[in-house]
Amino acid sequence: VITNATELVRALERTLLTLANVQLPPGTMEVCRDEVLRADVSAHIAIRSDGHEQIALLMVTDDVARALVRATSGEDDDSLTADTVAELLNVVVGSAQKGAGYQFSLPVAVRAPGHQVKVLSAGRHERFLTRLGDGVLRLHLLEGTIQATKSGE
Amino acid sequence: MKILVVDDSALARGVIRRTLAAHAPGTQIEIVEAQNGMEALAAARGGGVDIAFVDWNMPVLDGVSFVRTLRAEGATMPIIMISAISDENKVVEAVQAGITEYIEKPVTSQALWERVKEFIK
Repeated sequence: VITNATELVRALERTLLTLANVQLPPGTMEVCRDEVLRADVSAHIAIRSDGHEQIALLMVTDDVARALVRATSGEDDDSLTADTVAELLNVVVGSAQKGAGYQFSLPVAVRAPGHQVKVLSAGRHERFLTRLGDGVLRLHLLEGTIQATKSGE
Repeated sequence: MKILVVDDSALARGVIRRTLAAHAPGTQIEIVEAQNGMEALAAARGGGVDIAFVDWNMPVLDGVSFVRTLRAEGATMPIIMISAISDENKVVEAVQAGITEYIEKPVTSQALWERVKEFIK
């Protein structure tokens, strides 16, 4: 498993710099305690090692998703937002602990304005957040199950 | 030169496409894209593929299964795997399946070109 969510944060910093030429200075990703998790685009990946299971979750607002598409592909293509967030998380999880023997699933992405991701069962849950322009990017590592629901549900 | 690019992510396929366009502008390149190993097998069996870029984690048929099947059918073209997986045992598995090079994501366009330019005639 990924032993510490800060490994994910460092991997996110490396990935954004490599693929999007976006530099997040150290400390940009802050620990947060938000219980209600809303986003326009989210992606999650299940991680498994020696019977332990975790979920990595990347959530962004629409403006951040569009900026990431522009930065990684040079295009203004709305249809690429879910794919881009999913692929970024895929690379982040894969490179978080280089050489470690964990397996991870294909990313599952959701694109729906203001959708909520609910954590259905309690367990270790590490939460990081940063603001990019007027938007928000969240990166979580948790044990348990999650459910994406429409806005207002 | 016919190049097969196999990845379920449009972003990842785009990185390879743009790298080749930027660094090999004088080379006649036809790029064929596939979103999983099964689509890639169909494309490769059509013939004429000179080099393949392949992801590992994909739906329907993963990259290593694709490589294993293609090699068993006698294909000899260079196959470059570009994957987020960094587990050393998994990399060995990919090499044993028959890949030519293994490149870890994330990779910049420049670094990718340095690793693959010898295969682009």
